[in-house]
Amino acid sequence: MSRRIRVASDVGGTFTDSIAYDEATQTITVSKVSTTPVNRAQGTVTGLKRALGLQDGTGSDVVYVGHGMTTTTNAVIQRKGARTAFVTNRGFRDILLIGRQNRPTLFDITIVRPEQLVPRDLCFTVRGRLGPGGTEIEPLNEADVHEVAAAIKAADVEAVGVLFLHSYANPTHEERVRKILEEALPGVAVCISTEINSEFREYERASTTVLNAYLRPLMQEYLESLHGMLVDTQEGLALSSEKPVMVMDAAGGLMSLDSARLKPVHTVLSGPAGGVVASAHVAHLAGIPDIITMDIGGTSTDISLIRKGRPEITRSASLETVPIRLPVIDINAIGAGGGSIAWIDDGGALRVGPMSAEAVPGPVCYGRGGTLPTVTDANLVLGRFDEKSRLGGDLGLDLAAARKVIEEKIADPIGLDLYEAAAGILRVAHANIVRGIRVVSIERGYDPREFALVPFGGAGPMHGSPVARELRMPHVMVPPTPGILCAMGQLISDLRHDFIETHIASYESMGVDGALTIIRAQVAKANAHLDHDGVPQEKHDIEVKIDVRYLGQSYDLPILVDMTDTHFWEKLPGNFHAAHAARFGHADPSNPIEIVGIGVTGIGRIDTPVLPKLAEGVSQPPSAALKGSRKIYFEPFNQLEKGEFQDAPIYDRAALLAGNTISGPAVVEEISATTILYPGDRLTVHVSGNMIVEVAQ
Amino acid sequence: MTGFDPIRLEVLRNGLEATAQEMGVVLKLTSFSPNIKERMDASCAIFDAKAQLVAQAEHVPVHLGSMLRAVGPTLALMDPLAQGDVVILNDPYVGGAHLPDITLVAPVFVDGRCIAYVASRAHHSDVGGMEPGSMPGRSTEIFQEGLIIPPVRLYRQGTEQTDIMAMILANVRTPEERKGDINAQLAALRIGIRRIDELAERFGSHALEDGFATILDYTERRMLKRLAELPSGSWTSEDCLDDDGSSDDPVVIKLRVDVMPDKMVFDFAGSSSLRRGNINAVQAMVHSSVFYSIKILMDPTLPPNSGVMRPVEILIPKGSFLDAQKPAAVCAANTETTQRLADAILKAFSQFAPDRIAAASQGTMNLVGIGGRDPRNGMPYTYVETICGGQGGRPMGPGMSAVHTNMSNTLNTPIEALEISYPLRVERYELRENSGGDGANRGGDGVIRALRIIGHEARVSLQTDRRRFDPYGLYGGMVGSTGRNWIEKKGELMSAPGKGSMTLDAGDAVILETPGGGGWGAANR
Repeated sequence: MSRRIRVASDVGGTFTDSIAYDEATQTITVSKVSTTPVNRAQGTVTGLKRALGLQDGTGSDVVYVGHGMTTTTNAVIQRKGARTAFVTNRGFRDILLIGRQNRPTLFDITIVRPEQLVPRDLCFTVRGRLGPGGTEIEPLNEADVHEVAAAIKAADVEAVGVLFLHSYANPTHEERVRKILEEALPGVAVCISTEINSEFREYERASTTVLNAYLRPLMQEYLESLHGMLVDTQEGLALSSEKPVMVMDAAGGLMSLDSARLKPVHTVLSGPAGGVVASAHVAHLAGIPDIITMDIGGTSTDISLIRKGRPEITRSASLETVPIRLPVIDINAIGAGGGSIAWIDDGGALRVGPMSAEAVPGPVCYGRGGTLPTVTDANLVLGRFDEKSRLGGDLGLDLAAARKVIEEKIADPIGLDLYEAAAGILRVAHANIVRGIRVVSIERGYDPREFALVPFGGAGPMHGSPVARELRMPHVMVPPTPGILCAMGQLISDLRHDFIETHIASYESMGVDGALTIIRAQVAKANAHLDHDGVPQEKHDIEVKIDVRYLGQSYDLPILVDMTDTHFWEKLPGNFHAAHAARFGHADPSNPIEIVGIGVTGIGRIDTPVLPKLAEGVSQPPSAALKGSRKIYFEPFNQLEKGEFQDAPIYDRAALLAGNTISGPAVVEEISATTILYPGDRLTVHVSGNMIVEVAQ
Repeated sequence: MTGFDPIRLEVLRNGLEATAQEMGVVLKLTSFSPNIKERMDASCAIFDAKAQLVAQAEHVPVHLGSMLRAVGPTLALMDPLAQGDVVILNDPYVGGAHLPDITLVAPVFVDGRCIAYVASRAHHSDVGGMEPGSMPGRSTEIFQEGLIIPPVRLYRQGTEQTDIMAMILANVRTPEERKGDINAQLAALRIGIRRIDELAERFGSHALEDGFATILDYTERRMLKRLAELPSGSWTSEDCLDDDGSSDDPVVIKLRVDVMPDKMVFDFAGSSSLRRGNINAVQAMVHSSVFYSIKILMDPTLPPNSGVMRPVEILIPKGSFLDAQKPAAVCAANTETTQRLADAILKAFSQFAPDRIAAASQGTMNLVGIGGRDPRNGMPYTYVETICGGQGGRPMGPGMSAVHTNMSNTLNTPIEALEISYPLRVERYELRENSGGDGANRGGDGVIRALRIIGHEARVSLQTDRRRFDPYGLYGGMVGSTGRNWIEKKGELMSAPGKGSMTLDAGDAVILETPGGGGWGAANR
């Protein structure tokens, strides 16, 4: 009988991580290869072949491919998308340019808005106007539309975005324009706002629409090349062509290739989503519902919050001031990572970041030409890394160079010894991260002390304990394979389609029947999309959220409703008041409420892979797990006390068994990451493969 | 100075700035009114025991500088504060702003000693007075602008003084909302006090006080380094507001800036005397514009605390409109006078730092207020908005079009949201082409925004400037276009004043053309 293996790959800027999972044996194998920037499909296939090879699998055993990528995100940052035009109402040519009329920074006149996706000479207007509620004030002037079509044709564009004011309530003008433009402009991707987003607020909707148009030609090409390589029997993976290939979106769901081709804007900002989904999943296996994830990379740290097993979703994300009005996992990036550079500013304070040594030249200890001290160099000097580990590539780490640079650039100028200076770099980096986590959680109405910290990424587990302690978070949970967690997310995620529409009406005037009519229509749409993806009916999950606000306020809260409850409508106001109190600290049940919008999410459940369980052991780790010891410098919690080197035993994570406990100071090493336990910390290995650390307080 | 090496300094600075930021987040989250919740027209700060500002969160520039002097003059008028006391005030002649900005101050006690103060300031959408919104276009004395709250205890050792609260709420148009917003300001103070307690636990309370001093010294050091890089000398500039809303006479700002290696003096001698209209500024407003301009000139990353201002001396002539004394009207100082002050200060700077200063930006916030009764539901409504314009051409490139500049940075109301909420229709919102001044680096363009009144009679107020005197260019760059206000009455277009109120009928429209920025450098021909 043939094997059934699922594979996934996560293509980052530097590395492509791959994972293969055998459904029968639950064997997981992983690989990390360099990303191939010109044709990313190449590196994807190389990585998948390697992960498959580690369990003697081949492309013909593969039954499922998950794929995460940063191609669309990068295309926006580098402005490499299609030449795109924009069509809107007469009088409003500059909706995209004016935006929300604010400037990006308060005091720095060197910083201006990034280049517009659509240049002003490709913004066109036509007569025709709708009012609030979608009533027609002026009919669409089709002669204007034909004129614009001719101008667009002459301008040699590849894509067009269309937005009319109040179209969320009445898409007929937009639909008519799409028809005219498609006929007049064969081969040009035409995208109207209501096919991407049906919520009011014209600038955000226009921006999202234009972004989708801007990315469509590029995405089409990327996916063709990817699928071509996957099914290619010579150079490629020899995947059988009917097997599903799924692409990760920014909300933590998967999209079929067809959906991704039509709505590439959903993949923008999807880079970190896989790691968040995988964290939520493995934390659930360990029985921990509330976590804050901390993905520490080379230049930045991505922070997200998961409550009751669900990642926090935002609908007002942005990429470099380009707003994206779609459900996106709420991820906050701060400029502190392993490659962040330590420096003394001209007032004499030790600063870390935001400049980074990045992948090239990298930290000084990588020996690839870096000349400025980084967080990674400080970790090495303090014994957090083994000198012989292979972080930077094939060469070992250059401890002497790291010591020298910290001494010269930091310790000597400020008159401290080498180790205090190195520990100082960590203290400052941790202060930056702590500030980021605190603000993220408080802004969303949560207290970080009620969450477990889940560090991942290559550098995460090294910094988990001190960061948690500063935030007074009681637990750190180190997930299995923290270095390739994003790829695991691609295996675990479900399919997802979101439909959100603005329907502004008072609670009383909409009534339960009004609400049900809207919800049923949206549910039918969601089911149709899942059917199209080939998801059988019994695997459809439907989630309904109603956006509610107090009458007269302009901010609303999405309230999840239970459609199996026949009294869902009667319970809505109470649920809203409770949610408002939780998020904003006050509620006023006497205040009338208003419905702003209704959102339906269609989820197509995949058969979640069953992750392998660890064999049971006793409290004492097996002797084979103890690899030796080394001296590690620990900085105390009290800011005024000096630190010291302490002997720390080193454990091999692969040899640990469920139930093993380890007390800090100690080190747990694995291929992709190193976990550091501070004195007083206590680690327990969970049967799910997670390591749960009780943080010394 | 025990233990404050460069590492602890940075860790503490981060901790204090995070605390101020967190106070701001709590204020934003728990407040009631959109002005605070969405536009974040508010600020939060931490002061040491001597009322020096140590850390604050950066939201709206005009608040940042005015907070510097919020606590000192307040404490001077009061008996020493006890643990659990909270002071409330909005008197501009004490705390320095205008009446809608209500400030709360509380001491932080650790081990029985007061080691710090926390303060929150927020723009309330109404504090009583002659017009809804408490920003009357034609006020001539402060009593018309709203309820004056001198520094009084809202809480005494943890107990709310309900009679004080009742007194305040009886004098405002929207008491429920005011109460909610004041409570949000209290919540911000509470989180600030808790975090400072936690810092004291990690550093020790005496060390923490040393730390405050270290942070101010550190900021002063950075400021002095920047100062030493500037050429010494004296430079003068002049600019003016179109009028004070009460007469047509221009309001003149005269400035001499003296730069010395370790000191900077701003002397406003020769500026217009106190005016009848409401553009008069209390001294803190002048400090606010100076502080903002210094950040632009010296280093955008200078920590916003009292250390920046140590080498700075500001001379304001007695009796001038920049030294407003009770009972002068002051409400437009925040929106218009601070903008023109920034223009004058930056113009002086441009003479010795040509590579760092942009030509004049639009120099006004273009405040439009429309009120009436919504024919769709019979309810009264008030719509208030400020409108973007052109940024001046910059040494490194053209100015941005359609942005809020200098002392403001608030968001617009989306057209769809506006038309849903109010009986108004936006008919045009586009760049005002070629309104930016020509130059090697062109000034940004202003915008045209046209609003039509639908099915009812409405009262429209305008508070705008740069309608007579154009935004300056620099180094041969041309001036930006002045703004223009229009009304369309019964189909006929007519010019409208820069400041004033008028009644419009159903179907009439108000149209604003906002100023462009000046150009930077002579255009290449």
